[in-house]
Amino acid sequence: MREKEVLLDVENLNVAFYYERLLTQVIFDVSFQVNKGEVLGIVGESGCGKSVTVKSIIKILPFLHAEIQSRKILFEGRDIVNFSQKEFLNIRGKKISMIFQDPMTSLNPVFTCGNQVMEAISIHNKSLSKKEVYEKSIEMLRKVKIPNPELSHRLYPHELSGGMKQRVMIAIALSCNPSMLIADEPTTALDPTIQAQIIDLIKQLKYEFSTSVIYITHNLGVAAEICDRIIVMYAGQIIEQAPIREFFANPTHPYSKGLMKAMPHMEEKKERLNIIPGNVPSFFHLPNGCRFHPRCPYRQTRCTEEMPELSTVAEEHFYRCHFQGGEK
Amino acid sequence: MSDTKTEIFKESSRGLKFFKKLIRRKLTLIGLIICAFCLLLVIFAPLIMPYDPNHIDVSITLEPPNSAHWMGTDELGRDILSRLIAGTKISITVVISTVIIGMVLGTTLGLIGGYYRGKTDLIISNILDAMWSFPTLVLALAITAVLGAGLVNIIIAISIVYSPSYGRLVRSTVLLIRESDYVEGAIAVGLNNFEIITRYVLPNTYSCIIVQASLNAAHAVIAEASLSFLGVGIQPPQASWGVLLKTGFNYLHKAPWYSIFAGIAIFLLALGLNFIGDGFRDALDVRLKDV
Amino acid sequence: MFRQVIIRVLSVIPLLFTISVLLFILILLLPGDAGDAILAETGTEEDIARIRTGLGLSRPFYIQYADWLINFTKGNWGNSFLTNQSVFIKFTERLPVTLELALISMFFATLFAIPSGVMAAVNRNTIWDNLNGVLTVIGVSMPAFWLGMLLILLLSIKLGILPASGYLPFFLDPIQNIKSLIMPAFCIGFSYAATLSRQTRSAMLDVLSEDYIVTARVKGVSEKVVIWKHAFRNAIIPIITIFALKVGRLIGNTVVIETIFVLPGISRAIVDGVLGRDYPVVMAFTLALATFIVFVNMTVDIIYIFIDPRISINRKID
Repeated sequence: MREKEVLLDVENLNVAFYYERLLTQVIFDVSFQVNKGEVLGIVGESGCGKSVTVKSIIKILPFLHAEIQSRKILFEGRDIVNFSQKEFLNIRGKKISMIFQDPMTSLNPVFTCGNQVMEAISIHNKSLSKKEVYEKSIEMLRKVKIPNPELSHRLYPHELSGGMKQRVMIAIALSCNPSMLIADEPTTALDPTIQAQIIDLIKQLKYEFSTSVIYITHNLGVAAEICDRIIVMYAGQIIEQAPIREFFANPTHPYSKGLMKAMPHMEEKKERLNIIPGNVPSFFHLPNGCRFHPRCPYRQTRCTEEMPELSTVAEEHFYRCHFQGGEK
Repeated sequence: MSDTKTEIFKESSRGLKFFKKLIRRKLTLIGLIICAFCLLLVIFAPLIMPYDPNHIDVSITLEPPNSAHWMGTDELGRDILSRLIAGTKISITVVISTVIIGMVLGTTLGLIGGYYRGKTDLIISNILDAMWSFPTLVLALAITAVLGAGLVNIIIAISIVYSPSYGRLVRSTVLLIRESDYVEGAIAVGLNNFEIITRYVLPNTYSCIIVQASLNAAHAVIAEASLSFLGVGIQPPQASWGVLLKTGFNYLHKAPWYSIFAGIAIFLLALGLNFIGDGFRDALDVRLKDV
Repeated sequence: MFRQVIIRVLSVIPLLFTISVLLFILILLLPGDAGDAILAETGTEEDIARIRTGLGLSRPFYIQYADWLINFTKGNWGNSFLTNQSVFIKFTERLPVTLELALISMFFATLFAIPSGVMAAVNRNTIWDNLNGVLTVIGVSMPAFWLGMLLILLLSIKLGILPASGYLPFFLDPIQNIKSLIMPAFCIGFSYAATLSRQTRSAMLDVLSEDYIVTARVKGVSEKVVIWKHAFRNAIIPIITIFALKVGRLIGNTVVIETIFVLPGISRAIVDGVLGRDYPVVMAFTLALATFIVFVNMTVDIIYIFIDPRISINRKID
């Protein structure tokens, strides 16, 4: 049995933003762990807090406007909660990397792609010569399967297609062999065929570099393909957490059940797609009790008054519901 | 690309919400107060003026500010405060008329060029760019050389000189709007050009025109002062802020308050107009992301 | 890339053409025979004779225009109505003054404006930003010549440390030269710096909210490098455009400043020309200034082509 070593341990993360002088909380008591070598998926609708959670761990939120509190955030054994921005310079890019959703706007338009990869390498490897940096950057471009890396090195971002740009982003992210990669919906903005290529690439590189991955997506199908464990978030809270097979076999929270039903299946013949009725609540007007209750088909009076805690339904499978998703 | 186009259309007239957003910035409020104050001075001038601005009294020339004359007297013994109040009328007149005339002239040209494109646009944009290549005050001077001095002529000159600022802005906005699905739909439905322009294209230019207008208003105040100062604008003994500044300059060593007060007036009005312009710009700015 | 440079250079031609036509129309509209007199200077003996006898010019407009334009490009700008001196020579005498004034103003303005604009953007909504905001709005609203008067009042009349007027060329007396230009350059530079600072701030704010800045931070780039290498390099593009755009305003300011400080420059010559009805000077100098601005804008556009890869390079590789 594979020994599980905890790489990232987040305990009781709370994040609030200043919106026009008003402090509004958006992340509530989020706790999770990422083990070495695994892919943890974070799934949820837009606005549920997936991006904010990971961005606040590496503190790249606009820090003048955000308040971040946590009991502890252990990374590789060290508590990084109170690390200064200067200390984070040693972590970002080197130990934890991140790739983003929109490759079109994520690369600096006035520098060549090769230049931007080289920068990622030379920041954390100050002893390397220029030639060595250049060669390493070519090697990275080759690893992400960019054809003719020497040519692409000299090109500017606007000269590449979306899929190619995302590969460059991945090259930048993995250039210093970080222990953890955060992928924030990296394929959402790409064509489906390219999506599949990029996901395969990430899987492959994960093996090659032994990187742990936090993979954020709103697409359960993608999660099924790449994740080992999955977290479902809703309105700033974790509402379900399970190993991936367990989750797909036994989604417990009504929201998770709704998400599963909403996935179109090729075999089914359906007239209309299943949806979860209602809208995600705004953080300014959160409902009392369970946040999901306005949209939940199984709600009872207790749900409108009392916030449910996380309960266990199976090994490593937690959910946040008073009634085990309507089963009782 | 289409995101930018739909964003423009989301800015349909939400008058009240806009006004509230405008007021929110303290500076904009101050600007509005200053301009309102000037307007009040113009309207109630005969009631407020302590003295007749043209009343000459050679026994009290160049007196420093005192209880009888809060801002002192000029070289002919006239009360400076009264003359400043009288000058407000000229400044306001210049601002309003140059803004309106320049706006109409520039917007029309920009609309036509941007909408019809082709050769018309080539000619119009060339003319607009050419006019804009002259330094503003220099062109105004050249035009007054042709037309002569006086209030009407400098209004014409300033309007002409600043019309390209509206024209180029409107033209580029129209070029953008013209490509949008909204307008294509209108054409497909069969609306004629005039209806399309007045109902769809023009309303979307209002916001940038307003911002430009308020900025040009501030420039107009200074332009009038400059031209009068140089001697080609308002002529003495008529009282305009620029004339006062000019005569005051001759007596700078003897009666500095003369120029100081005249300059404060110009400065305050230009400041107020700039505050308003900034307020408009912030209120209409779609892209201001806070977090 | 070079093809685009050539296109931009050539596009100057229709613009100069239109400018000269507009000015020519102004000349024709001048009161009395003045317009004819100007054109006759560059015309034929017959024209000059006809002017003297009050008959007006005989040749069609477009030929007069062509003659006038050709003469202008050759440096034959006619003679001043007042002094009968060659207008062109007068221009060359006065050019260094205005040029020195403009250059000094622009240099110091840029030196202060760009860092302050960047700092204001980076420290948005803090006291630095607000201070910068107050100063810039004052700079934009304050008439440059009133500022000049205040400075003269303080530094010349009250304190007597700087001259209120007069000018000596640099190689004759460098110290006096600088002394006579400090106040004028400050007045002009202050409003120019104010505009430039606002634009810098605005451009930096735009760039700092872009995704690629987040990417840079996530790579572990230090904040200083993020600001100056990643952000500023992008912001400089719109800033340069504004830089050039406002040169026109800068020259406009020289008009009144040269008048107040009695500097023998080009702009003051235009003012004197308007007041003294010395139209050849007015028209020729105005055309020269406009041409200068056209070339400044052209240069900036060309620089633009070299620093923004999105404009010059346009291939797409899959």
